[in-house]
Amino acid sequence: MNNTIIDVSHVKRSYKTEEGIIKKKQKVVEALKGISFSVQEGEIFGLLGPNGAGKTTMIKTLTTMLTPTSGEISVLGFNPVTETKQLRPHINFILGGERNLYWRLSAYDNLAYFSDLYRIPRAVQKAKINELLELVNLQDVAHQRVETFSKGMKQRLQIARGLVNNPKILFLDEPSIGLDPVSARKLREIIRELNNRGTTILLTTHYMYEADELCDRIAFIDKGNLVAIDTPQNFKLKADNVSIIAFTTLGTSEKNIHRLSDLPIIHHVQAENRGYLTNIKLHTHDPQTVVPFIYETLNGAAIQDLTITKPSLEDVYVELIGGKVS
Amino acid sequence: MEATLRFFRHSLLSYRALFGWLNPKVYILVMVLNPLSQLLFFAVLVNYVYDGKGLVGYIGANALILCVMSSVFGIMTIITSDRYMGTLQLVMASPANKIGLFLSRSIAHILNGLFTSMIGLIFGILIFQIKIPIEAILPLLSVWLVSIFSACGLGLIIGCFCLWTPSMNLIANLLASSLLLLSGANYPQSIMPTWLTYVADFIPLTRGVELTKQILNERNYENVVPILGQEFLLGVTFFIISLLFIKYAEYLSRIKGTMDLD
Repeated sequence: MNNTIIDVSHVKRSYKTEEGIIKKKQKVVEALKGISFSVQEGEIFGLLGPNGAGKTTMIKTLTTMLTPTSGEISVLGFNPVTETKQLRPHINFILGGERNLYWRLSAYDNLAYFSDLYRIPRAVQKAKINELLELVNLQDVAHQRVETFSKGMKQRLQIARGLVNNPKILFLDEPSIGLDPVSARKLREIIRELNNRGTTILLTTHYMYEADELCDRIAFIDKGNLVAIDTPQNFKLKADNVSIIAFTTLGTSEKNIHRLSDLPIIHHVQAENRGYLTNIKLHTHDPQTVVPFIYETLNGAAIQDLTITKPSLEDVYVELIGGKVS
Repeated sequence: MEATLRFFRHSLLSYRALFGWLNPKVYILVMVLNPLSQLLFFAVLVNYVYDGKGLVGYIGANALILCVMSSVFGIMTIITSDRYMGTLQLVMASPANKIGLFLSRSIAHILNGLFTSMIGLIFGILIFQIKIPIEAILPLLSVWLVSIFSACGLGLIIGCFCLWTPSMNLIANLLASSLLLLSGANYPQSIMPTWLTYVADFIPLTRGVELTKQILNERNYENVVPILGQEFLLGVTFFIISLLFIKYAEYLSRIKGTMDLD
């Protein structure tokens, strides 16, 4: 039976900023514009969106670090605005990047330090810390200073730090940012293992592959709005009748690329310049009609490696968030 | 018992985690040699100016002033380092009691300040061949402990400013000079302009310096309890103000969203 563990209803959050020195002008930026969603117990829930979409603001709001301007939030049945004391012992969060650890302390001491902040009794701490170090495969460097660690090791230690209090919900804000593929894979394995042990996970990420592989459900947010919410499989199914035409071209003008988007059966044009070459991806329901149109429009330009494939989650994301041309 | 042990464990771990001068070379240079050269300079100066009169008191007072390295610059790191490392927001969003937390973090710096001052006094005794009676040691230690506690309270207030301004070293240097200037460590308070003595009444170390001189020069212990009580109250007030600042910063970041503790 589904059990709602996070309930977000019409949440708005705006920031006031001031411009100018003498004549101060107040500017209001709306980071969240009325977002609603819920997360079930035991789920891995992904929040996806471009930079500035409001993902971190949402995570900070759920983890008591920020209060919403309006709307209702319930996390584990507690209000993160007024019931911080009751909520904080049961949740934890991990922010991406190398910071958020004490570099002068060893891995073991970092975990002891945060265990104390979460009032974990010393008798429990010893066994727990060793168990966590083993989980993130840092047991051999437990007593080494964090400043000697690689980025991946620091990120894994952050995961261990986020688990010192056995949180019922773990919030991960871009946990694999800047990691090499091997470290990122290891991190995903740990996240899956945690979820198998019963921890509900809410994560934000830029990496579609990661979201596709890990998440039970995904919410796409853009400019403070929730654009769509569903399982990765359903997202791909919805786009099942869409084809992705990808090719590389040499010597095409920007004007010609824009002309491609004039054809109504092309939903989205994605262009990426790589020196003299331009990688182009077109989303369409009718590849048979579009392919000749490409050759006609890019008249004279070299076209190579043209493929027609089914959309990935990334293609769905680009179509939802990217507008007609990106 | 568990809570008490946690309090002291946090004090030690946070000191190691946040205090940037724990490298032995840096520690000896910054926390020992630098204060000792300051003490030597002022001791030679007052010895020359006052022709050795009251030298013991002046050396004791200057030794106490050396605690500024810990009580201003050291204690600032409680907040500045945490913010720099991106851990302040993790600490603030944890279930830990923040008042206990920041008090616990201050303990190591109070003891460090006491250590630096004692090194200064021993150095003064050895260089200037002065003598301190055994019965003066306990009252002197009590005076120093409370005075350094009070100075750490003011240091923590200054540390809170780092949440608003990046120019922390300017403010910290200004405070360190003000403590040296107003405490009367190198001249009698009576020669200061009256309005400055009023200001001096509200800063830490002034009473500690006065009591140190009374104990070491006059063997006078009568004022220790009442004046030390005032200094303790001043310290408590400083700590309350600093904790209110921290609460205000949390309010700005959480409720108003106009401040990022990261």
